[in-house]
Amino acid sequence: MNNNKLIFLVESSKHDNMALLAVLKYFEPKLKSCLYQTQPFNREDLRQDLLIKLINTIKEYDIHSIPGFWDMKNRLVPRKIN
Amino acid sequence: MSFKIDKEKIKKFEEENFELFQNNLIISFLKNPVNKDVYWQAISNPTPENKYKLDCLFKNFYFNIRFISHISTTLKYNSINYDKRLRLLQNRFLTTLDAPINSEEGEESFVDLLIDLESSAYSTNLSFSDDISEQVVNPKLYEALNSLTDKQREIINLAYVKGYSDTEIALLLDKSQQAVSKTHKKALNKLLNLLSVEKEKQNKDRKEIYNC
Repeated sequence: MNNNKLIFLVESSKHDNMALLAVLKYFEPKLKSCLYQTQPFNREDLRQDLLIKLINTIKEYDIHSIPGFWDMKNRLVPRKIN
Repeated sequence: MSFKIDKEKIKKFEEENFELFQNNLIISFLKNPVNKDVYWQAISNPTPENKYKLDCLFKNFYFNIRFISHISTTLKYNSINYDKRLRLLQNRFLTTLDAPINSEEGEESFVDLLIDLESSAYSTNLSFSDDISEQVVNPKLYEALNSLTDKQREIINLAYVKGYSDTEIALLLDKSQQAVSKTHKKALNKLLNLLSVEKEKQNKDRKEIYNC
């Protein structure tokens, strides 16, 4: 999956389940590596736990809080007094 | 779609906003040639369209970093917390055998007090039988032993239950040592054959199940 698509997928996953699934698939390798944290017989349980958490996090993530280039400029550069 | 890049303007912008170009995020954003191109165009040609394009690209870039790291930490800490929660529950609801006994000598649990059926001290005291077929656990071996002739079984018994050598058995049964050895060997071969036939049958069954 192209990295540039991620933001659109996350945005649309608030109402579109297919997009949500694509985001979940994107994070699947990370999720799998987290499963090694626990004993083998608990892994399936942990997987479901993490998936629920992941879905909630994706749905609640506020995309509009990301600053743009000009926001960054205003934030980092002190106001010049003319 | 090519615009002229105004190097003067870019230089001026970078001097005016030098704090911006010390930020690591901006530095790594501009390392990408596509991003850099859009940035140059937006500064040289500050139309709302170009400015918006740069804004979008940067948002995209920043979002990827922020979102992926957010998800990674969420996953990591949740999996650690899951284990912690599990351990807490396990300590709270111990199974009867794991529960500690109130004893003054160190930590003990009920499971330590159970009799170990497989320990040698236990089995030598209780299981004393002259017949080998009463000591066999494997049902297949039991069947195979029962199919031996009486003479063969007698020799097997003496050899493996009592631990006698072929010569001692020969003295005991009033036979020649060669005859005893021959019967002994024959009995072992018969057992081996019966067991390997059984095993082959099992393998065949298993294969058939897999093929289904």
